[in-house]
Amino acid sequence: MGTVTIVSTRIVAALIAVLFAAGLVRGAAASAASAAAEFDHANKLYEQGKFAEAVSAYEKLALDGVATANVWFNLGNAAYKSGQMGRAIVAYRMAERMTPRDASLRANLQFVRGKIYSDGRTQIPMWKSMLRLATLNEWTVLTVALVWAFFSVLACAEAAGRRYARSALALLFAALLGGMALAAAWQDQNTTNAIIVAKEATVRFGPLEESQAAFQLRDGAELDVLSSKDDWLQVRDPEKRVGWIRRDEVVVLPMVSAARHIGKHATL
Amino acid sequence: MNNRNPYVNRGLRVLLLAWALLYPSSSNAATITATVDRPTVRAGETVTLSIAIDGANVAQPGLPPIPGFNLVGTGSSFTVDSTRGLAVQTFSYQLATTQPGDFTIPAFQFNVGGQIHTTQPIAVKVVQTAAGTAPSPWFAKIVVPKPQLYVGEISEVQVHLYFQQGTPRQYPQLSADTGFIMGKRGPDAARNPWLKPVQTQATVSNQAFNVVIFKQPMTAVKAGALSLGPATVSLSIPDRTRNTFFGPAEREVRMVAERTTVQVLPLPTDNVPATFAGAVGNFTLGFSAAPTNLAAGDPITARIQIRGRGALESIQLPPQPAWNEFKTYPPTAQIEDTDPNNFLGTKSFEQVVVPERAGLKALPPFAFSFFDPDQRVYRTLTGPPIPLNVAVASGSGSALPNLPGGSNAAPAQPASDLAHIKPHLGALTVQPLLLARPWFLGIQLVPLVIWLGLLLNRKRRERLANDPKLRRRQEVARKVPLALAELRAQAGAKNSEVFFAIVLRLLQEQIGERVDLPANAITEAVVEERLRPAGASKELCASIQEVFQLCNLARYAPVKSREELSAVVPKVEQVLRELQRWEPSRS
Repeated sequence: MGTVTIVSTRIVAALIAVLFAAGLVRGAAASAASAAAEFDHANKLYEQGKFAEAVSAYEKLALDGVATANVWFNLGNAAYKSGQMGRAIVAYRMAERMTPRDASLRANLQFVRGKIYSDGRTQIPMWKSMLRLATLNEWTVLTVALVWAFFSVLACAEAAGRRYARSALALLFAALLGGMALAAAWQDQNTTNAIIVAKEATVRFGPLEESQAAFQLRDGAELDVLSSKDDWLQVRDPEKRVGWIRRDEVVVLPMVSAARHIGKHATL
Repeated sequence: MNNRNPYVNRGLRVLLLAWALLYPSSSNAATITATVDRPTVRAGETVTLSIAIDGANVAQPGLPPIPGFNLVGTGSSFTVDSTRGLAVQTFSYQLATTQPGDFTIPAFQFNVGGQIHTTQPIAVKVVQTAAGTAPSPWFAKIVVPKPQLYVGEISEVQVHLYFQQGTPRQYPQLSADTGFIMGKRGPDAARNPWLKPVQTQATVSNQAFNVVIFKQPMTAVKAGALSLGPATVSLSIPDRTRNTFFGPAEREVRMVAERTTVQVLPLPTDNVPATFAGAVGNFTLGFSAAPTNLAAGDPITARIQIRGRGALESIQLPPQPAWNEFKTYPPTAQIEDTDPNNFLGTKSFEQVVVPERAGLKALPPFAFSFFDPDQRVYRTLTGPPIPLNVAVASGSGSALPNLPGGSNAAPAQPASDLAHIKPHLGALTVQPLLLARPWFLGIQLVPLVIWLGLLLNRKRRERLANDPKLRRRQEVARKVPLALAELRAQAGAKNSEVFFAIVLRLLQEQIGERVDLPANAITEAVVEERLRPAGASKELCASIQEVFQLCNLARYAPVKSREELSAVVPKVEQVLRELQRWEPSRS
């Protein structure tokens, strides 16, 4: 099973790496008609209960550069139905970056997280959930709008020779809040996460196979990546336990910044 | 570091002695071990022989003469190993080496509690110091008290800093093989992996040195010859060549302690107990469970305490084959240190176990195995069986509770309550990050620039409103070019009367602004009355007077020629420029 997991993991790794390195840019090359036909075909496989084949079909679409939020969403569903919890979480989180307020997406993500551990340890903190209600660009536009409004009030006050102290203060406060939310969203989106995609993964005290096991994690557990060494990642789980895990047992998110931070093995 | 109050020390010693005498461990047989701080020394250096006596209280024994060594100092310490329940007396003897060679500290016999105990002989190699070389006034070396370890065994590495003057600046920077897990436990371990340093003194080549010993716990995780070091240490020493207000300046000296090797042995593969889960050290076991009256499917909390010397953070509960009629859940654990060196402590586990059927009479004994690196054998500790009274569960079907992390809490088979897949492909929305676009960041300066412009404009207006002199200067400066243009036009029109009226008006305005008088009050007399006393140069005054005289002359003999009028314009311009440049003195 371990070999299958590793091979499958590398396929997904290659898929995501290719997608993010080049596919997003060249995605428009695939004709809209054929992409829609392939998407319908994948949906049909899903409806027929051929979930593993549906996963492959959705992945192929993504490889061709047609990585819409709906492709990720459906890929998450198919992965979950075929028993791949970690890959389902990865797909939903990719979709979340594009359509963060999609109610069905949030429901599915919460549902799958609840299936991994039933005691709520996979629940995302409230502040983080609220941050993920908007994309980084949306937070940026909101903050910029508040900053412009603040300076507009100041400019109007200068031009009219009047003081709009309350309005200016209120807008300054709102802009500061927006700035903090933007900074937090930036931090959240650029924190490198690792998602377990092996059925059972062992976290060890050191980056060696000979190191003693510290604790076990299940498929789908979400971790923060602290550092890396060779083929190992140092991770921290939601219970703040720290240890080392093999790279081939996780998918690292976000792929692009992860590649920047931890080198060539950033993907699976 | 060791300058404690002697009365406190004495009181502490009395208390420890009393505790040791009253403690049940006194019934244990005493054990005696002899060790030296390093097996190889240079001729002239001191080696410390430590004799530790467990479980007894005796006076410091004397040593017979030892060939090759001179006894130069003694000491003793008294500690209590609360984990093992033992009082430990350690007697130390500083032995100065006299000549190179291979020597043996012989076995010693001690009479403790009427029993004769014998220590093991210890080989010490004394090597030649390079001829004619005196030791450096400061140097450092890496010391591994136990150069041969087992995988998983906790030990320590020491960096000894020898110096005759100065102060250590910071903790050493130590490199280590990746096969070691280095550093102390605790919240600040990531910031500083070292334990509190110890200061002592030693003699090297008949010279006295201060020695600071930095210690760091380490645990080997793989077998083989693993390297430790090099270590970099820095020392702050007085610099006699430079002085500051407070005395001699200091300079930093860096020294490197050479790499050393630790031989890490794999754990024996013979006779490994079934309940061995990797623990290496020396431990005792505490075991309890509650409640004991319950129904099938109700949880029991088993509390397991592993106390002793070892790498506690890596200890895990072994599977219990005897608990096959109980469902077990992952335990929680916490560590309590009882030793500042992180060697001794207690790891407490709480594990939920659930009887799967009614009628079970006991929770079978809990077994925990570890490898004892001193005796080189596996040992198994067993807790008592816990009597149980397990009744039939009141409900039907599965009685297992849904506990955190338990195997019954594993993800169910794919459920149907996912939101359904999306029927349409949707738009490929690849939105580049706005914050990464220079034009977007640049455009954010627009409102700031607009506001700053308006703000500066208001400030300028306010300054003008509050400074009439400045306002007048600006008005004159604005009028002068216009008037000069008009002047040229009048010259072209040969309109002498208007021309000179404008010249006069220009002079009056400019001089009036300079000397702060109304323009109408300016006459040629002002040159002598105001301009010259205010520091105007003779040339400027002469130029002004010349223009005034031209104006006066024109009243009576108007100039008719265009050339004549045009020739006046540069003179006027020159006078006005000089006036604008001139600043009247305040006096």
